[in-house]
Amino acid sequence: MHTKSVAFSLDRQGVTGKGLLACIQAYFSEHGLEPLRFAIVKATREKVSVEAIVLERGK
Amino acid sequence: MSREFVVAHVVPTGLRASVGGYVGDATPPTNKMAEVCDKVIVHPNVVNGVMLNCAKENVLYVEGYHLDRFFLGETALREVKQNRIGVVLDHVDERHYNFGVNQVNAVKANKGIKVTGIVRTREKIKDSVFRSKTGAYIGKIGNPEVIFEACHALLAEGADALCLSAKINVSHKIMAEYFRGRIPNPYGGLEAILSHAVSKKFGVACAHAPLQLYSQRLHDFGIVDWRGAAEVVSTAYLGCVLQGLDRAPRPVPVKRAKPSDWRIGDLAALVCPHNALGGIPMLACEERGIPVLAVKENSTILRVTKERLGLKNVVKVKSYDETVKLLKKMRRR
Repeated sequence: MHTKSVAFSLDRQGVTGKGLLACIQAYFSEHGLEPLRFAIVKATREKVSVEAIVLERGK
Repeated sequence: MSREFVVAHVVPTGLRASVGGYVGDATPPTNKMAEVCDKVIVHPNVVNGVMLNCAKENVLYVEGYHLDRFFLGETALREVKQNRIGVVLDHVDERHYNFGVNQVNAVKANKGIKVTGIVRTREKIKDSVFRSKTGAYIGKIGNPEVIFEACHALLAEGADALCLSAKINVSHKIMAEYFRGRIPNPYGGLEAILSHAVSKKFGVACAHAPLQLYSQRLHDFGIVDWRGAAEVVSTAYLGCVLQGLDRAPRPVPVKRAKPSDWRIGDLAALVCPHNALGGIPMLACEERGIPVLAVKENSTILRVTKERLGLKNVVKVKSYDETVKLLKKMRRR
């Protein structure tokens, strides 16, 4: 088991403010990731960039 | 409906926040807020000042993972008279271990904290720090299971809160840059990961402090940035964390919360730096219509602002003094 840093960008598709949290949580859900922490670190009109730390089971 | 006026103060870690990006330097504005509010909820790094924890009594010390869950409506916070604290020390040499134990005893002797036991991990915690693309410092743990084992043993002995302490290696060169105010705190991000992992696994109050020996080399830094001065006069980091955990509220799943526990619905406002609005607390407040007071005086290396995210619930304030005046007005409404 170890922690891993994950970074990704999401197309905003017009989502502003309300709705951003749900979009990010949906990404984690779709990829089977359970983040310990995450935050938007960059935002433009078109996309948001997210950095997260997840716990990964043993390799 | 809230019966008291409760706010939260969040200063995201590892982003060189001009207020709160060092050690305990966000305590004075937090305490000013505490004078006009019934409670101010903070995460440990807001008020941790190496051996110093000068937060007022009505400042509630809540580990970041639990704080995120509070904002997501999953966790409530239960105030306590006193916690029984278990201490996890990293598996390093005898001198470090002795220094850790002496710090615990110093706080016991002066503050009367209750410590159920001290457990050393069975091997060195494999931790490393690195810089992300945005320039923030984060970290990695290679073997969290050794921390979990130690925590498990302490909880079995009756601890209700956990104080974690790992030896974190950061080069003298990087520390010099940090003390000159040029880069973010290089180890705060790793510390957050350590405590988040334990919070997620065990669901108890916890916090992390680096296990660093006093080094003669601290004198090499000369007079440092005043916000980081607490780190060159002492390396007894466990002091602030043990004082914080003494009365840290217990996280409770919201389904099991009592009416006297604090829930997100009780929160009147969130105060944070003006350009780091992309974290869970800020986004959750937007979802719930809770005002976010974005303080211009507190700036970070990010540019995640109200305009860039299209946030409607953010109120821009110039300074913490202005924030306090606004909170007073909000309370009267």
